[in-house]
Amino acid sequence: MNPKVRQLYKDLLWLAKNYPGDYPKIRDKLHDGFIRNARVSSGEELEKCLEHGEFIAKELQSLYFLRTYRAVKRNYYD
Amino acid sequence: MSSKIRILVPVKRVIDAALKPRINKTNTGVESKGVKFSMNPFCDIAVEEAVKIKEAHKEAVESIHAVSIGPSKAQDILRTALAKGVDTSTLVDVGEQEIEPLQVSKLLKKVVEQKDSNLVILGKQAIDDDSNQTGQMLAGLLGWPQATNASKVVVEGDFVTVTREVDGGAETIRAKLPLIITTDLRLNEPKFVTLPKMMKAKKKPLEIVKPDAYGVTIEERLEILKVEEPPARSAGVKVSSVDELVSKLQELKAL
Amino acid sequence: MLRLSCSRLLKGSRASAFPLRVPSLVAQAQWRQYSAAPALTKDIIQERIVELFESYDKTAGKEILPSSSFTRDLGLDSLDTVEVVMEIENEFSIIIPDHEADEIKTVQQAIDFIASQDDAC
Repeated sequence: MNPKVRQLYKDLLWLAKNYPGDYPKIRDKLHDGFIRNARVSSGEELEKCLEHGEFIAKELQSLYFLRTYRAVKRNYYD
Repeated sequence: MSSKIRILVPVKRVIDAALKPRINKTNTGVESKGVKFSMNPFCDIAVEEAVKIKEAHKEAVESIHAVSIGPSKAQDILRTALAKGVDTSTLVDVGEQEIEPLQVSKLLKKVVEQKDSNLVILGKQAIDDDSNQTGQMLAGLLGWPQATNASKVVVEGDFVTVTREVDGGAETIRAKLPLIITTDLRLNEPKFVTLPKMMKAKKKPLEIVKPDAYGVTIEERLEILKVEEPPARSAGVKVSSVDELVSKLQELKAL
Repeated sequence: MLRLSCSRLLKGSRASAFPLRVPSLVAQAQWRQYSAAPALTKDIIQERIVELFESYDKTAGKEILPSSSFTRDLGLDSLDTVEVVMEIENEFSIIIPDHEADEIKTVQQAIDFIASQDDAC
């Protein structure tokens, strides 16, 4: 497995674990997403897939942050 | 020449802020089995602020030490703090026992003395018990000045200027170290810890001690009688005119 | 590690006129206990790894033997293996570099690798 792909999968799994939700469900979605692109092994297509993965990672981070702090704001400041 | 700053950041493991807690079957507490736990958001903000201060004052800040008083699983929270930039950490393992703010403050006082800390930054309250007492009690026990509900912190040598969120606005105060600061939500926005940082943090020191190592016996002075959910909000009533509003309020004896 | 050196010193003090430095070490042991867990034997490692596979949803209910191959016997694909290796890293608080992780294809290989790591706990 391409080391970048492996690291991306690990990073996304880690984010999924920290997101308070159904880990197996998120994990399965990530798994299927990666498997769908399994034939992509190099070049521009790989770069695009990796970029998409990084985008998902950033989205998950923002969602987690929003969810936590929106809850705190709602409970303490509104 | 100003003295070196040794920051202490106490952190607490609580049920994740985004989750809705469920009351347990005996109505004495909250269901914790199979529930996700995380660092208290206000403690997260405290860690972020300590790391920011260190980055802005690399020469002045000697170290950041995190401490958690809780169950063995609180090690995860300390690892997160280490991953965010804290240098060393201590877990005071109290098992599954609930520790009251006064006991926490007494233990923290011992840690402050052991680590010779001169700046303690902690969350203003934990989202599980909402006491909002630990910072203030610690300041009282140590005889230190305190700046609570901080929304801005500026370190200048031995002095710290803190903007506090108070009813009706903000108040800015200035104090000389040593000092206790408790964090408000508006202080900063903590960054998410990525996996590589978490892995690197595994090599940083995490010591585990028991409370009697500090010569403190945990005593419970409060007894929880009952825990219940707040009453469900009843549906509102729509009114079509000011007169109707007035008569409805009179009906409810609010006017 | 500190506890081991403690007991060695205690044994020494019985046999000879060893300077009584034991009390301060004991006091230090109260402050610093980097790991209170017992030493990791292969049996304990095996137990914990089997338990890990039993609680992993994709392998729960399957027979976990030391000889079990991740792909052939446990039905895991390469992504699942990455996930499992991550769980093992977490469980034993160690980092497994990619080139080592690539060689872990059976339960026994996982056990052997952990056993070879000094800082696994």
